[in-house]
Amino acid sequence: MKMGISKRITPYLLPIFVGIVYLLLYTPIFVLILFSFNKNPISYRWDGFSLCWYKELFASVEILAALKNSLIVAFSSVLLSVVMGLFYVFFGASSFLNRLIVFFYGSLIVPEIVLAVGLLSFFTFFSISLGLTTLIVGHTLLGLGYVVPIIRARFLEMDYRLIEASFDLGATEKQTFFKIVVPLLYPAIISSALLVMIVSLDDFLISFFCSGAATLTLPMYIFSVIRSGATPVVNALSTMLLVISSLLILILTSLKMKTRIF
Amino acid sequence: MKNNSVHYEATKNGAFFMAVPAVLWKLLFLYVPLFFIMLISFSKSFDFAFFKNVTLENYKSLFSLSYFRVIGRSLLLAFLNAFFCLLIAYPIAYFLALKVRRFKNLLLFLLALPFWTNFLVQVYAWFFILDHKGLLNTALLKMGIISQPLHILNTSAAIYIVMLFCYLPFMVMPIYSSLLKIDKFVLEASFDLGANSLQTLSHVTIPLSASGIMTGFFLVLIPSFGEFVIPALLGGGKVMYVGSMITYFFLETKNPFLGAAFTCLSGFVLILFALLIYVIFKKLFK
Amino acid sequence: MAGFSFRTLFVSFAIVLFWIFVMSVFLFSPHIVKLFRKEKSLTIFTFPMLIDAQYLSKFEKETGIKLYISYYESNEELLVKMRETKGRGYDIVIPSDYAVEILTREQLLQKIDKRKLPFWDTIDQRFLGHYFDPENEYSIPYLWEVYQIGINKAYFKKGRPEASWGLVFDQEKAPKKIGMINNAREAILIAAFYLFGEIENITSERIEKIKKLLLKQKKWVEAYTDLRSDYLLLSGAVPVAVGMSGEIWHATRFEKNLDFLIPKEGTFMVIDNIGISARSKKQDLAHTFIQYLYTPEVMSHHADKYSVFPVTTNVTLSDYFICSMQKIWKEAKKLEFFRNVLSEKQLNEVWIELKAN
Repeated sequence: MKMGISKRITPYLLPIFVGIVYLLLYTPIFVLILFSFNKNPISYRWDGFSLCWYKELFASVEILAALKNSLIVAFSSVLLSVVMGLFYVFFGASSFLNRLIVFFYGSLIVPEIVLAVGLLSFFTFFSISLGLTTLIVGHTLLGLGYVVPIIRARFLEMDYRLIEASFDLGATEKQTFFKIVVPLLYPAIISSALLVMIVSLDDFLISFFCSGAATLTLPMYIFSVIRSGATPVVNALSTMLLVISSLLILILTSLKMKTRIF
Repeated sequence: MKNNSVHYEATKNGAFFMAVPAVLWKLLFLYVPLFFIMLISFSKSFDFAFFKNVTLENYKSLFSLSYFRVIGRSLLLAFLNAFFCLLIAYPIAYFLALKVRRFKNLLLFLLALPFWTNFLVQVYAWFFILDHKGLLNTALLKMGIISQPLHILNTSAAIYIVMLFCYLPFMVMPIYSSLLKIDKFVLEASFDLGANSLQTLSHVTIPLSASGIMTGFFLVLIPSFGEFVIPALLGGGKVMYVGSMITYFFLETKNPFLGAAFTCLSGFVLILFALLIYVIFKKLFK
Repeated sequence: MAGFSFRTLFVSFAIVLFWIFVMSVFLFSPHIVKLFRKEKSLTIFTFPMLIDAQYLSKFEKETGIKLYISYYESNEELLVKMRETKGRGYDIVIPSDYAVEILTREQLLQKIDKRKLPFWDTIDQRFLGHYFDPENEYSIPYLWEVYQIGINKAYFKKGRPEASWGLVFDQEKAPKKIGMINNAREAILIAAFYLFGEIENITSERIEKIKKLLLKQKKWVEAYTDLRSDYLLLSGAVPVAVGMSGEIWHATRFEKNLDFLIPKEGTFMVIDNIGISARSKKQDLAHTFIQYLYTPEVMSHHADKYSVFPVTTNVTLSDYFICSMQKIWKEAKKLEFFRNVLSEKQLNEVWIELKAN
């Protein structure tokens, strides 16, 4: 499409603009990675290349513990939210629960801090001890808000005749579910699982409010370190997280599905 | 006949059994806590005798300029952030959806990557750029564009800049999705009928992507209102936003009741504001 | 056709109850697990920069006691979390002096068995028997710090400025940008000290004056921070910053351009204490850990790493360290504590108005 106004640079304005934005988006990340190799722990003077922060990172007992906690919570939340969400979408289709779909958009409409504070008050009131279980509860809650819309959208697009045919051929609901529906929904399941995984690993607010005595998660650790004075170990940690996230996304996009989240 | 209906009932119960946990989870852990917050905003202690203790004192003490300023500041932040995000995100989404063919996947991947990285890490990274002796100032000083370092960190400017870049992907994605759905023939037809690019843009493209714009706008507006981390880390602790205020009440004072009242009040204001924006949107895009 | 029968309703209700039961079990499972599994572990709740988790992995290896360390940024956070959980889940906490008073008042700490702590004699007498725990039944002093004003010598070309709180509060004397404390109680009491020379008798009139002073000061505050005052100085963002010695003095050790001042009017001291949570059942493990913490090597490691001053007298530290410690102790004419003289209402009144505008 050619621009009506005959200026020669106009066709290039948009790409340049987009390029600048991308650059600005990535500059902080580049700087972060760069300074993870800086020998100087404090200021911005470049004192030389060093891998000492990475060594400290991998030897750090605390970071490992925080990572372990984050992973446990993330995996559990993914499992719970995907399973529950899947069951709801399929089994709920035949009952009135189907109409309750609006329910699930609640966690997207409420700012997360209100959620976190609500959960905190709820748990305190019922003397539920704060810890990994409460974190899993909160993250699964967030997860359901993503899983149900995604899987449901894909489910609705599915050819219902396949399910009908399966019933006609004598399969029970359970058999239909496991042999027909799940395989067809695979892309949606995987993409929503990855999404919940990342949301959970990334989540800070719910962890900050509902964390118990022995449950430091990775974002909480990073926040605590940033507030009290960070050494480049945080940079090293961030770089590692970036690498892992990129790998996860490569997997996601290479599965070539359209994730209609919105 | 009877056998059939029993079987049907049984499977119906079976279906209910499988499907209900998700709903219960949401109910129990989202709506009940929200209701709970509303409840305790009207009381002053954790007694079970809620109904005897109903008091409006919490709300009364919130009627002061300071609290209104905080809420207003957050509303402004949320709105401006969404607005700036829209300004910057639309051209990007337009470019990706309608202009680019070859590197589309790569560019999408690059756009999504910061979104998928740890949020705190992104925010922390901006320290290195915006600080007194950070990248931006050093570069600008060396190039001679400025003579004194710009004072960005620990001011609202830092907050706005970082929020813009952190929330940008949330705005780009929905707009991109809705732009993808536009039939290219419609755009061609517009040109055939004699419209130039600007007219096509304003009369065809933008209205057709209205749902995406609206989704993106609210996807940024609502979380920005309650944002706590970015103002806390980048603002120098000088002013409170709704997020910081709520955190202060719940994590630093003996008065979660006032905190609950403040949360409800802010939530209420947010809903009103969002509804207003929604109405305006509907009018604009009728 | 088998639509709405009471039987379906009843069954549905039963199903809902069943799932609620399952979820409750899930939520309360930690309680149940704790009953069965007697893991040898201690949960420590502390300020960052006081306990070195990495260093303590040695302790874990030697004794087999697993340590779980969580952090809070301020005593207020500690108090809120302790109140919420009634101290359940935490074994060892490290409150500052005024927090000890509040915790003992609310019965959230349990008595410490001094017989199990042979190092008692090595504790400097000056740190025992203070207002918050006269008999030291509930707390053991661990580390102490004073509030200092850190300065960047390069900025003050005419020589060292006067060591006074006026340097941060007085518009004539203060530089255009300073770093100030981000804690309500501390900021208010320091302001009170500057204005009235004492922290008692804080009437509503005085609160008004303090509010005005802090609001005025805000114009030249670059950032409010609790634990990053050293960073503010080191990065050159401010030439003057108020902070604890663990930050300010720590910075002066590494950057020769920086120096610290002890205000001539006097300053505030904070003693961080070890306490055992009232609901903790792991007294033996706790005492073992405390004993380990006070051995000279461990004490000197923490003191040196975080630049905080130990309370025991048998610690081996560099001469510079010990000299500085003694110098600070001598120079501070009047050492106050952040005692509990303010009501919650007064605190909120000033702080919210300060931060909201």
